Amino acid sequence: MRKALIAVTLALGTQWASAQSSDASTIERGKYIATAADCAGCHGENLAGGAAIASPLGPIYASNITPDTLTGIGGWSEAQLRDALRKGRAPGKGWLYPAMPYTSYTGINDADVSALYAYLQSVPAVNHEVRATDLGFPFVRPAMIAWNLLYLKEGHAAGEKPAQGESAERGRYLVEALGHCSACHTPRGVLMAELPEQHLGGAFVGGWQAPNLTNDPSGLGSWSDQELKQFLQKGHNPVAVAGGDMGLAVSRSLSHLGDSDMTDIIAYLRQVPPVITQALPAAPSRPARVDPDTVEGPITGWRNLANNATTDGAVLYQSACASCHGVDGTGTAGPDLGRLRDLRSAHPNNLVQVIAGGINLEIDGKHILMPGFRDQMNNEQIAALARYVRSTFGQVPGSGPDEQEVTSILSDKTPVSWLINYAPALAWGAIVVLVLLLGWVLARRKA
Amino acid sequence: MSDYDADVIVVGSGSLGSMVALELARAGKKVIVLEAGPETTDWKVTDNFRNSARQNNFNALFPDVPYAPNSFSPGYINPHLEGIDVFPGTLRSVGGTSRHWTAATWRLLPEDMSLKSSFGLAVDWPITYAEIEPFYCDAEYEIGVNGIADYDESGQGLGYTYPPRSRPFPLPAEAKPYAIQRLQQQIATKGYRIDVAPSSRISKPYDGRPACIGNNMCNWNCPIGAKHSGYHVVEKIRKLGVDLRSNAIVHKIETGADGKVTALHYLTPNRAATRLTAKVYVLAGHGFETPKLMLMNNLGARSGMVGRNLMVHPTIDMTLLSSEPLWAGRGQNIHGAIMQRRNQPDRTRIPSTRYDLLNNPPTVGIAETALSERKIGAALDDEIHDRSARIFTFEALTEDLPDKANGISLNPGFKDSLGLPGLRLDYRISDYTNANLPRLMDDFANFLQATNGTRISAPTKWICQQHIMGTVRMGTQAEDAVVDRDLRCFDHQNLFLVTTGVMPTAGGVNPTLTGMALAIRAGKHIAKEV
Repeated sequence: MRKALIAVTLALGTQWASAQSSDASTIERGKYIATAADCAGCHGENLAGGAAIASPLGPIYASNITPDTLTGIGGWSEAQLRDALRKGRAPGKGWLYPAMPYTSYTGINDADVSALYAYLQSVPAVNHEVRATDLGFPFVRPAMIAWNLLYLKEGHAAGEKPAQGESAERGRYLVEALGHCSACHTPRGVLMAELPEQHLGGAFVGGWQAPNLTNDPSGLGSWSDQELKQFLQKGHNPVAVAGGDMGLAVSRSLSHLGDSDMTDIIAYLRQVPPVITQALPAAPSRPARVDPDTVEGPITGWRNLANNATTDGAVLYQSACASCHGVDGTGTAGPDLGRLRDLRSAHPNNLVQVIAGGINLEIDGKHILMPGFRDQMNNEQIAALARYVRSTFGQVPGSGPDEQEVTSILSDKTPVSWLINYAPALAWGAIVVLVLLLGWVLARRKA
Repeated sequence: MSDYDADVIVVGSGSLGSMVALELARAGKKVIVLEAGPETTDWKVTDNFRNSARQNNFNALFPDVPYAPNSFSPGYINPHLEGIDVFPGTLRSVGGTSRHWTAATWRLLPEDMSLKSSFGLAVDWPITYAEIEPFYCDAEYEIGVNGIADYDESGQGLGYTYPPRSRPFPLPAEAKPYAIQRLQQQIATKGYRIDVAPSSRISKPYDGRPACIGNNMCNWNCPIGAKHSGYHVVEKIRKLGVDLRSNAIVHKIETGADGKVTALHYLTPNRAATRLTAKVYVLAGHGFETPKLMLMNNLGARSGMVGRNLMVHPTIDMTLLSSEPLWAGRGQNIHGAIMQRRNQPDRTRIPSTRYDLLNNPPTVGIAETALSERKIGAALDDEIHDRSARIFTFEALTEDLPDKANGISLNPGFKDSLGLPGLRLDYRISDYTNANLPRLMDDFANFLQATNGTRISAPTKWICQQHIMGTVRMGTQAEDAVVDRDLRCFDHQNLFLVTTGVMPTAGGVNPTLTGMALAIRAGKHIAKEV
């Protein structure tokens, strides 16, 4: 009984203390920071962690960042949170892996760290022990000391560019530090650090193409401000639909940002130096002419009625897609396919991902859903369908993908350098060589 | 575990078989589902539809395989019918006949399940509405059902939710197209009211399915997957690791001395035979195939009720040509229904009746008629344009009562490609059904007057719904029923029949949602036993 009383007193005491130290408006601001930084993207809606973040080195488990003292960050000081965000160091773990985008978060300012701290300490504590990440040798946590020396510029978000004017300055902070857009949109080098010279120039992540966000025509240079704003707030505009993780980023984070922040983000993106990537073929000036006769003809006999195996893209399109996208691809319930950039991209990743997995976006009370077809088509059929819509509605001549490319895209793997790929073998090899050398030296000494 | 091939084997992958498999798979059980028919993907059915010359036949879009004939396969059913013209179109296909259902998801009323005590008719169910109610909710949330709050489904204008529900509809009602709005205005003058028809053609994205965009081919096959079908549940159970085998035709069921099922055998189309064992067996092969399997193996014989008491919802319809364009064929196939005749006090004499307003695309029928009148060229076009805008069909679905004389039995005169028998079908329209005719004619006449229409097809002959009930009825004792309230066979302790064939009485509404609720309930029971 006495113990219980003490516990209650302690609990009340802590609550009172935290209520004292952080007023409601600071917590509210911290919540906005957490939204802009999309903490929930990895740590989950309740921030209790546990999700396996797929990395090319193996799964990295998102930690519990609720104020639970045992399993979360309840025992952390503000300075410790600041270190985690800025230096990639956390109590109990030592060095974090950069799946936690601290190379971007390092640019978060003191006031925002304080607010974020107040907010994270105010959310309901969840007792949830998260599985420890084990990437195996040589990707051990202390290896990050060297990596950080090479790639972490404390206080400066990785690759951020100079910005002219107050609005673009704020935009830079939102894009580079909080939004950590470069984590997906910047290609990475041999040791998986973002390549500064190709900052925001587009990359491949988990089987998707994260497009070029720079001011080149192959990037956002050809988008109007209005198109950009609509995409970031609603998840779609006439030329693009946010699929996969970008869809989630819009629904969880970007769609909740204020109008002035949105203006600032666009102002900064306009100033990002162009990275020239493969030009996108122009959208067709007039819709494709599709003659239904090419896919219509009597189907008789049970064998033909039961045959799901066609690899004729036109038949697949007219059967599975035309009810929403129209016979000529100009769209009825779905968008006009010819205008979609992902359809005409040199890389069919996003097109293939959407055909296979669909779109499922809930933004601002609106639900946009396209069903995926991977349960009803094999990879060869998805490839045939992708080729058909690219060549017919995108009017991109003679373009892939083939079955093999679809299989590779749908394996959801992020491409990595040979060094990372063979790192375990190389590291063990080096150790073996060292041991042999040592043995040889010792043997020679004895002899 | 290693003694058995699975915890549970389910025969049939339709709406109900897949649902019981889903329940078991979620409980972590090892499940094998055997489906006699082939797998035809949804997009392929759309392809078949677009390229079919027989669009007025739902079954025609699915392969009529020689090793698993369906009810429309020539010769498979040998009909002995009196006063009624057609018989139900059943499929044998992965996903079952729900591949071409309308997705009408009515609940039964408490009175529908207690005809004996409420109206002195037929029998009471061995289970009450209150006992099924939570499972109705489970089914509605599983498949996504549209409806309105405070809804009296009995049509008696009660002003409160009836039958009672413990959870609201998961989705809001769909919008009413012009035809339904206009008809509502017109028939209101005669005292009729069009109520919302609950359906699983979803009004908002739900569970990975997009919202309906009004392709208006619900019955054939929803081309975007907005309408629920057993095929969606099949996709779910596969992800849960259920071993679904298509083209696996179960024909032989072994039992031990205690009556328990010990194994079942299936053939593939090329006659390769496989024997499988499980702790529990579920037959979920529709209201025809389930009793057929029982009869082929002399199971459940004690009751003498296997295959009997067939109920099919005798139906009669009238097509009219309105004086003004109604534009039927926009939105879903059935939007609203006139429910006032569903549960009137005179149900002791006159069957429960519902009027459906068929919002189907009418062009094929119009073209057929016009062509038969030798109209071609511009005259044909004009006829189609004019009539498509004005034509409308009212359909009366009526409750029939169980009668031992109605039912299915084996028809050894037919052999499929594996040498398995066909079915003999007996059904006679009863005096109780015919007692409805005067009032039906009265109502139809009122609809005609209210719309200022011309009758182009008179309500003169009984047809039936594709609803099969009663053939393996549930009850309280082995003497007059095949299964108990948990769908367990009285004679075979580890054999469950999950089909609308268990319904002892038919009610006046589509039975599938009730079947799903019973399937979920049975699944939970079985999960506890294995």
